[in-house]
Formats: sequence, C-alpha cells, structure tokens
Amino acid sequence: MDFNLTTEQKLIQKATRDFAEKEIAPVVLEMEKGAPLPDNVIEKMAKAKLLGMLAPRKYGGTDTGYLAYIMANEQFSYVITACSFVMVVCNSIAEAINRFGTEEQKEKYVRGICEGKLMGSLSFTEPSTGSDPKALATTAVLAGDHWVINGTKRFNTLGAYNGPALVFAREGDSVHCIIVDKNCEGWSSSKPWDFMGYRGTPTVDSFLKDVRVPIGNLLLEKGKGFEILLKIISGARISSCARSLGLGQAALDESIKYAKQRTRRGSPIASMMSIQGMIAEMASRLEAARWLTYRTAFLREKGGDVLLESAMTKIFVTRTAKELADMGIQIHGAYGFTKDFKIERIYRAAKEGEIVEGSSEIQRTIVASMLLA
Amino acid sequence: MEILVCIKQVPASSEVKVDSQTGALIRESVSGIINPTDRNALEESLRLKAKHGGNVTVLTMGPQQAEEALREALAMGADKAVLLTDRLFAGSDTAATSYILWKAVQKLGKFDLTLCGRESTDGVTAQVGPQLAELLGIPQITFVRKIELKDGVLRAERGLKGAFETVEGNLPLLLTVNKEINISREITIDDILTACREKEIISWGADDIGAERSKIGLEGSLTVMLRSYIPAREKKGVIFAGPVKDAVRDLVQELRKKQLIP
Repeated sequence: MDFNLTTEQKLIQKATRDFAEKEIAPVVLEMEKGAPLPDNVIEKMAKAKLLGMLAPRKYGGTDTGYLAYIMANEQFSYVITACSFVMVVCNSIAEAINRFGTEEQKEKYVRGICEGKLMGSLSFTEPSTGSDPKALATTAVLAGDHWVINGTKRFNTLGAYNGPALVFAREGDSVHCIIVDKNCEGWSSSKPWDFMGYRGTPTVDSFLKDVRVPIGNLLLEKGKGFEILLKIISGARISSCARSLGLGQAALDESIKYAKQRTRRGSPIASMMSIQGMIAEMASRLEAARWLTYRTAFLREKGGDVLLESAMTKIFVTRTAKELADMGIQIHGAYGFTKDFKIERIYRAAKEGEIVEGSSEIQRTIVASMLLA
Repeated sequence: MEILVCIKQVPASSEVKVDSQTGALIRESVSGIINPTDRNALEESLRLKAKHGGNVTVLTMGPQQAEEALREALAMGADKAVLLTDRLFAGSDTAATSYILWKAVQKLGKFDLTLCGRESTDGVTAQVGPQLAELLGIPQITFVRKIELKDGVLRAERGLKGAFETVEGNLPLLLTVNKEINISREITIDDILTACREKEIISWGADDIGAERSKIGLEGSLTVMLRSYIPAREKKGVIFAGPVKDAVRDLVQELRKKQLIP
C-alpha cells in the first residue's frame, strides 16, 4: 500500500489552505461575533473552484477525486469557519445530482453550483426527525404535471439562497427526493440559527407551502428517496470527519505554539511532562483519525458505499476532535477560557461533529445493526 | 520571447527545525515550497509573457521531490518544466549548481531573458543568478524591483538600501528579482489538475546534460560548509525614559533612523 500523498494531492492541500487563510480567515472573527456570511466569500470560493470539486469538467466542475476533495476540506476547515458547510453542501448536492439526475438536471443545477450561481441544500431534517425517514412529515402530492409539496425543513443549510434543494418528501409510504428551486413561490425561510460554534453558518428553517415543482424535478425515481439519502449521507459523514481533522490540527498547532511560549519559573511549559503527555496524546489520536478518514475516503473514491466504514470513522474522528479541543483548553489553562485565544473557538466548534450529519448515537446504531445482522 | 526562470524548492520556513548537534536544517518530512523570490521571478515572467507573447520554461535542480515545485510552476502558467536530478548533484555548492544549470541551458537553447529570485531562503547566498549569468556570457541586473521592456531594451529598477537605481540593457539578459517586484498569483484547483494531469516534466541527469564529474557535487564545489549554528540571541532593549512626549519623539526618531518607519 502506498500511503504517500501524490503531488496533485499535496498541491491541492496547499492551495486550499492558502485560500482559506487569505480569503476566509479575515472574516471569521466578525462572523463569530454575529456578522453574516459575506456574499463575496461565496464568489471567491466559486472562482477558486472549491464548490464543484466532485462534479465533472463538462459541467464546470474539476472532478478532483473524492480523497483529494476530503483533503481539501480538511485544509479549508483549519481556519474553523462556517464556510466549510458551504463547501460541503454545494459539493454534495452537485455530486448527488450528477450521480442521479437527468442530463437536463445536471446541465442546469450542477453547472450552476460549480459556477457559484446556485447554492445547493440537503433538505431532509424536520422538527420531528433528523434521521428517521418513516417520521417524515413533508408531503409530495402529484397534481397533473406538478408535485405539490408541503412541510417544514429544519437546519437547512443555505436554505435561504437561490439554488436546488434536494427535498425529501413522502407520498404515502414512499419517500421521494425532489429538486426544488429554493425561494420559488411558497418557499420561505427563517433567519439563521445562532449556533454555539461555527457562527455565521447560513442554516435556516425552510417552510414549503403548496410549493409547485415540475414532475421532471424528481430525482432518479419514485420511492428512491431514502436510497439517495444514504448515498449522500455516507459522503457527508466523511466530510464531517474532514472538518474534525482540520479542527483537531488547529487545536494541536495552537497548543504547541502556546506551550512553547508560555513560561513558568523561566521555562516554557512545553518542558513539563504533563503538557508533553497531552501534546503527544493529541498528535497520536489525530494521526489515527486522519488515516482512518483518508482510508474511508479512498474506499468511497473506488466506488464503495462505505455505509459501515463512514459510520465507524465518524464515531471515532468526531470524538477525537472534541477530545483534542478539550486537551487544548487544558494546555492553555485560564487563557483558554477567554475569547482571546483561538482554542476557545475550536472548543465551541468541536461538539458539532458528534451531532450533525447523523449523531454519534445514530452511527453506533448503524454499525451495530450491520455487524449484528 | 523565450523566458527561462530558475527556481528552487526550499523548506517551508514555518516547519524548519535545526539539528542541535550539527546546526544543519532538518529537511526530512518537511514540506517544500517554491523559494519566495523565485516565485516572484516566475510571476514576472508570466506577466511579461502575457504582455509580449512567448514561452516560459522553468528549470530546477534538486531531488525528485522538487517535481512538486515544478508542478506548482506549471499550475501558475509556465509552459515547460525541467527537473535536473541526479545523486551526483548532491552536495553542490552555488558554483557547482550554477554549472549544472548552465549545462542544462546549453541543451535547452537560447533564451531572451533569464529570471532568478534574488536569493533562496535556505542558502541565502544570492550567488547562483550572477554565476549563471557569467557562465552564459550575458549581462546581469540584480535586485530588480521593476521591469519595463520595450523594443528589445529592458529597463530595470534596482532596489538598493535606501536608494533606487535604474539600469538599461539589451536582451539577452539575466535578472535577479526582489520580492517587491510583484505579488504572485494564487492557483486554483483547476490549474493544479491541469498541471498534474496534462503537462509533462522533463527530467535530466548528469549524463543527459553532459556535466563533467569534476565540476558537480562535492567534487565540483569551490566552497565547503565547515559549521552551521544558530547564534545565541542577545536580549537587547532600549528604554525611552522621561516625559511621554519626549519619549515618543525619541522613539519615532530611532525608528526612522533604522528605516523601520517612513
């Protein structure tokens, strides 16, 4: 097995990190204080070709390869930014439409996302359910040559932006996935949720009242909604892990920097065994988390569904990020408890991984059910 | 117009560690970057190409890993990339390095303009560019911060300490550039994929360029590094005492004297 990164992967990592530090990092602190996501940031991300990394070149994407995309995700996430969600959601939706859509859907929506003109959304979660399709309350009723959709979608990232939402709706016992052009008649959104971490994330509740959508906007086939969702979610889990890796690396780097600078009785605290122990633990766990994530991404790139692998990886990697953030705060001591140090922001963001894209409890249920079947 | 740019892959400075015994840089497992002023040289060549037409060839000497720097150069827009790599090149000082580059240029052909960065961040000698110009038998202008090219005549502004100097010369010329000459472009994912998947890198060893063994590697080096160390830092500080107004005035004067503020 060759574990060496290719030149292409290394350059993608470097270019993405450089972009994040130059274009994204300067706006992060304002967003953490409550400012919204600046519009020009999305334009810049599109220009840097970060929104269509999994889409074919014929639709304006770069067809980077899934593993390199995850590596880019990790580097982008190093600056701990809500923009990571923009990158993930747009790439996921473009990938899904490219995989399951008609030529007409691909040309319209995949190209639009790659060019930054359309923002995708994955509209599954509702007030009553985040993971159980049987509990979906949003309905889709066929009326002539249109679907009429009614329901509420919760935690809908980019739900207020123009573009294609993959809306999961029930028709009787069947769950369909229907592409809805957001902000059409009948579509409205709340103001964004004010999250504990990754503040400024443009995640809203979206309300669909008699939204009429052409029958041709059905993705794949009737009743294939859950199957599509599972395929998308396995990728979303790995993206969540990439976010955790970026965050974990930031926690480690900040802790090393602090430990070398902070002195006690004339010596840096990096010379203390207790600090060295934590640094070593952080680095070791991060290394394991990284290669587990890369391996799962590699398997997905090779065509695997990775339903089991992605669940196992997410359990481990997101917990690792949270642990690293915790150790990072401990190393910083009282200063870590202030907003003056980056580790505080890392700590607030770290919990996200164990909840979003399927909570760790759900992942454990998935793993256990697959192993014990 | 045919432009040659010589670049070097150097350790990313934020990751550099030093061997406490030998004082040498520990390069293993450290990622490499295009030497910053070489990147400026490449950027300038691409701007000249955009304005005057022609081709940009990038040349580097180093281990196989230096291919990454060439791929990045291709992603920025270079047309051709050549890697000089051979175990026999190891240990070359600036004289041997310049000789090797010269032999490669003899094989590549004629260039109207050759651009180099002023100095590398690891060696910091600023010797390779001037040495190469001598071997090529062409005039050189060093520390360039601005270029104008018109009708085959190049006008360069040199950035010296506390002064500027304008020099003119006819092509062919070799220039070494300062970092102030430009801000180099960012590359996109698309640029990287094109560079890695669609462009070729030519790789030459000592035999390919007809390099004489006595002029390369340790044997061909005119200098030997005897010792490398990190000097002990002396903690120096100046206290500007007295009334605040006077102290501020004295501080500003001192900063101006050191050219730290205008």
